[in-house]
Amino acid sequence: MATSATILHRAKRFLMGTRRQIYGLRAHVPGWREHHRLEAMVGPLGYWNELQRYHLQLLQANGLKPGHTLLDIGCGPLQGGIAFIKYLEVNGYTGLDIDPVRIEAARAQVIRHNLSEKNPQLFVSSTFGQRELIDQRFDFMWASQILYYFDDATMAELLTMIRERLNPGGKFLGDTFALDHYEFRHPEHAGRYVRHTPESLQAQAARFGLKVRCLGTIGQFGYPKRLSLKTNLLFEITQ
Amino acid sequence: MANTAKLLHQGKRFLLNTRRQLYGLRSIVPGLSHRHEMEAMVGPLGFWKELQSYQMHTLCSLGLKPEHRLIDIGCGPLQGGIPCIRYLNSNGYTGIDIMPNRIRAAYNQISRHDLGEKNPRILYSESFGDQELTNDTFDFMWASQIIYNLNAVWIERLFAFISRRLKPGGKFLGDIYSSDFYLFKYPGNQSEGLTPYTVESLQELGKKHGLQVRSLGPLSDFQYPQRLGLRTNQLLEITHSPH
Repeated sequence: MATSATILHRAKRFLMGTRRQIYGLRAHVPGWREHHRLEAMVGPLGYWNELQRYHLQLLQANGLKPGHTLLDIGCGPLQGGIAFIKYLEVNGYTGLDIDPVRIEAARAQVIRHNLSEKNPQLFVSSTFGQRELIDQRFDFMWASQILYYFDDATMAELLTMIRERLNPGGKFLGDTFALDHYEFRHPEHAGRYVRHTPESLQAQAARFGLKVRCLGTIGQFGYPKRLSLKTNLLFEITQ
Repeated sequence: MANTAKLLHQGKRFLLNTRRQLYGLRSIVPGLSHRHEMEAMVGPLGFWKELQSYQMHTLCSLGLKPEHRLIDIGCGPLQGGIPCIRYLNSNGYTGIDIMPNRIRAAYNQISRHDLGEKNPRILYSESFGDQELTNDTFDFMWASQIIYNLNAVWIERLFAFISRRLKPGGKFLGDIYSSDFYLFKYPGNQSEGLTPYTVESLQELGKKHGLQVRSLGPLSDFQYPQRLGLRTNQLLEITHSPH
């Protein structure tokens, strides 16, 4: 039985790999190349608009209002960022990424969408903005699909930043793989991902005086149903 | 004698205007149109590199170091901003401007020069950045050819801004027209909205804000192009009063 589950999983992964390769052909089509490049930075391919809607919908469902300030951690080429910048008032959006190429793409996106007047702030940062943000604090912090890359030490750095920079009444939101995600059952990238559980996150956050609450799966917040990450768990961290 | 001087001045202005129109032809030449667009935002045309060197030279000769934090007030399309971003460490540069098209141009320039990694902050601001900057303070403030465009209300705001956001030991640098600048001698349309501040009038204002103002001499002493009329502008340094 376990073997047939493995075979089924492998077949599914093969089909998804093929789909990805077919999508990759866009890289050779003038007019689609740039869009493909941006999608490939964040993956999965072919869902840019749906994922953009999901980001904004999720934050709005959790209380984001135009007058709030938002820190987008791992903002990439602004898949969610463009929607946030449009929605928030001037000076409301700050995006961080560790990868200069993504920040460059983010800047190009701001130009393309004519949003520079909204004063979005974009930073290359390997410290969750601790070196770059001076004394800035935020009403919302959003970390989409990055927490499972963080080991205990990195998570501690993140929690320190949250403790110092989250406004009273503010919320950090981020997601982790579901506990039964295929990476934990049929590892394809052994050692790359960290398996956070609600309990492990709660224990770690408590050391920083922070409270963690699981809000369900991201599928419940408009994440595309066809994507396997729909089962990711959404967490809220508050003071 | 006065009439001859006026005629001479008018002749010179005519020639300068013709030169400007000839330069304007670059806007239809592929490869030169971008440069022209940038230069036209800041003027004068045809001196981009010289003015870039002048700005950098002035700041460095007056003590700007890579680890300093600089705010460039009226940064425009980053004529001085690009070399400053290159020179300063990451997170050192903040540029503000009141014109949205200049902010867009500044964004473009950062991408074009591949300087995103230096984390320059570019802010559209109608308050010298006061509403945007939370509690940031700066080692250097630079306002090139801005002061005389500010009326009495705005110059007050600028001084209050300097007083709040200049670090102890920091310097604000900016220039004013010299008293014999042609726009004051031969007023015309271009003179409208310009305020003839003097070192003395700004020193008085500075006292109200705990600031001291001193003239460092004409811009020409700081490698401002000798062919340009604004070379006679006086460079001012504003610092916190010692007490």
